[in-house]
Amino acid sequence: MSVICTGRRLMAIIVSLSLILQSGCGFKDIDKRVFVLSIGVDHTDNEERPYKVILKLAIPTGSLRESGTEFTYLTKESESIASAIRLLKTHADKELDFGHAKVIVFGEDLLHHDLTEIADFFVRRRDIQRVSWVAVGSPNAEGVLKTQPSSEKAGSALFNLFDQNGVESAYIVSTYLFDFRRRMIETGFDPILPVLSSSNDKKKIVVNSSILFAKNKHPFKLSPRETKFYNLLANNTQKLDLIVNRDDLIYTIAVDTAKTKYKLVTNTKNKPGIKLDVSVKGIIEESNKQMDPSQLSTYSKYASEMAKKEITELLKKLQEYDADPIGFGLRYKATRLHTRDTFKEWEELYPELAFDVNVNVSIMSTGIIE
Amino acid sequence: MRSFTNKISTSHETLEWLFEELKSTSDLVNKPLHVGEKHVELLYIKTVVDGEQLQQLVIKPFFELESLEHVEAYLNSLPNLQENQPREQMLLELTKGSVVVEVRDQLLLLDIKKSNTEAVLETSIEPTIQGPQYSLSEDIATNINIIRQRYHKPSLTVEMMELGENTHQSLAIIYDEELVISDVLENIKKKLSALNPPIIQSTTELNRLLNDKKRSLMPIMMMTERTDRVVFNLAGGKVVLLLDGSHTTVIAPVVFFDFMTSMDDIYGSYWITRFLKLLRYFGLFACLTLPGIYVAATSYNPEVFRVELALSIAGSRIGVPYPSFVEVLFMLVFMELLTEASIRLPKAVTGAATTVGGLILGQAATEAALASNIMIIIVGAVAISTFVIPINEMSFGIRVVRLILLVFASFAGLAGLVFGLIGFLMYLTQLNSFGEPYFKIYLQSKRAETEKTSS
Repeated sequence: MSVICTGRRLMAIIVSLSLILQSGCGFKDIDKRVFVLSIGVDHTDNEERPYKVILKLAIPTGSLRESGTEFTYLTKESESIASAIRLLKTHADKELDFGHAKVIVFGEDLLHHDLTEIADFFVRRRDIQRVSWVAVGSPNAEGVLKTQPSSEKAGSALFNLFDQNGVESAYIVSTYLFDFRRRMIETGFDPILPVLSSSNDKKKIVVNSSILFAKNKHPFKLSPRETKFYNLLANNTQKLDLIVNRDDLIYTIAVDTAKTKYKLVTNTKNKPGIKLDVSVKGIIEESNKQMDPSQLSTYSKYASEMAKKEITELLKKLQEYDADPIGFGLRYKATRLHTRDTFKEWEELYPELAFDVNVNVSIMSTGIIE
Repeated sequence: MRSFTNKISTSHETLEWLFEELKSTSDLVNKPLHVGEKHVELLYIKTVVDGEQLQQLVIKPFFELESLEHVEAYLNSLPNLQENQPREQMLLELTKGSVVVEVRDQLLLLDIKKSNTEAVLETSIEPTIQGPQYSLSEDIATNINIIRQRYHKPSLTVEMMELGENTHQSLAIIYDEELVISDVLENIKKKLSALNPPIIQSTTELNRLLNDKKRSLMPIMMMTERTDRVVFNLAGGKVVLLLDGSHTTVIAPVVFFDFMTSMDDIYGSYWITRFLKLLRYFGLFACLTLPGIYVAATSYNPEVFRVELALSIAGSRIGVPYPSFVEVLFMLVFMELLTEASIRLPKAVTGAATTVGGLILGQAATEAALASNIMIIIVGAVAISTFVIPINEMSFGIRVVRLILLVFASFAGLAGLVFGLIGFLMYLTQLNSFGEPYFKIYLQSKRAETEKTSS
């Protein structure tokens, strides 16, 4: 009996000791790590070493409150991102930790090459979170990463632009890494990325346009105005403004709630089309003339007509370009009986679709009390 | 009494025997009372007998009453009279404060105990804002009196027994006969009668002695000094054990959640008590996991929390020489020492100890870069949240569990911490308190529960 007991005890000791050995690679104190806050990838024109990887590292300081975070940058050109990062490890005396790499920026030049390999790297790395944001840097990723806006505070490198905790704007498209990857693979749903443009003096970052990649096509840039309406359609963005210009009257509506619904109409009788219902509620924020509260329904009608025109234009433009960032194709695949050719049918159908946009703007008040 | 006449010849011998047994005791008194025809002999130990009461009850009436028959009748009618017992028991009763009176060749045993421990103490272990401010005394008779005063019900049963080979302490088993779970009662009685410790001084010792497992961590009986808690639990069908000389009671059976209840929970209004309860469980969770979370977050998974926090921890750890778990262990041990010291120290020095320990040690440890600032905050938070647990014994248990969880976190990060927590839960669920599940969480009202068990 006692032999069994001591044997068991010995076993327990051996197991617990082996735990210590195994923990060798996992246990690393936080002061022995350096946090990579954003990763940038640019394309060099060198065929042998096409990728230039830029890492933005946060240097922890004793008094975070007084000095803020200081950053340092590591840059390396290499034939693949993985090898660049392996080499970059030798440039720092601490372990690179990608756990907080929340923003991944691709240089604009990179978009003209195949992104599959790059996206693959980021998705494979287990220490890069899938909820990182992906963006495009203009003119290049390095410029964007090295820009330090004066308002940037402790460690918040670019995160606040996307996470809806900081700035909330209809002009910003946020795309997660997992979403980006999904849209790259999925047919009938195209990726769209926000464009971060840095000013020349490296003091300011502007993000109000976006880039659309349809599959096997050149990237296509959406203007701020188009980005805004894309956001309305795809993300039900609520911090939105509509500018209405009718006759001599110019007024702006601040939107509180917006909701978009669409339906694919493909029965044989009519011409196939998409029926899109957008309902928007808001108040008047600015106008060049006295607004009459009794005329609110008229103003709403003007706004609806204006929005309808804009949205139809955007949809037509997307259709012309054969891009589908809203996911009409995916909806088609999901709601039709699946055959081998479902997606092929859609590809034939999409260029011919008619858009029936129905916008219902309701202005709740003129925004002033008389 | 008359039936005793055949033992007349032995009564004097018994007295002689008692005298011989106790002869070496200097405070033994053997006093003959003699006037005219009347003759009575008293034997008692002076220091445990109430002299004034003896004078009033025995000596004065002896001289006032006419004849020895009257005296005998009078003594036999006294409520203090104890039933006839064998001489060994008499000897024991003498040491407890009884007086042996020899009247007309028979021995009467009168209980004229003097007790200096009757004062009812103020609550010191479990203070609450509302509710009774006095707890129990250190005298068992007074305590039973207090409990009976607060629980007027004919079914309240008090059973007495003796415990301790040397000390012969009296132990009261108190329960409400209508509500008590009979299995548990039988279990407790069986275990108590099997006990034979040489000395037993405190009811809390019973917690260890009645436990089947020799080495246990969690208390399976609840110690309390609060009379309202005793009454509350009696009404819940529990068994209360009360030992002479101890101002605390133990209550069995218990569930884990009993230890997290304060009596204030009954007195306050609904939302306030809910909030306090939530706060208490949060405190429990915090003091269990915070050290582990710190080690996991600094050494394994810094990506789990916000980047600002990661950078701030990294910044405050600049220059700390040892790995995080050494740092945590170091600070935790000193915190435990501080807690322990403030219990043992004389009250006058406690303030100095906490100032020196808390203020100077904490400040200096960060200045000397032996620990990070955030570590100091965590140690402080852990210490405070440990004190939130209302029952002392449970908070001692939790202090040990915390260290075990720290070990798990040091081996495998957050995953290890979760693993350890699950293990702790499993440990709790397999425990039982006198056959009743320890971690019982099926929801039922108190009334439904007591009705079910009593039927």
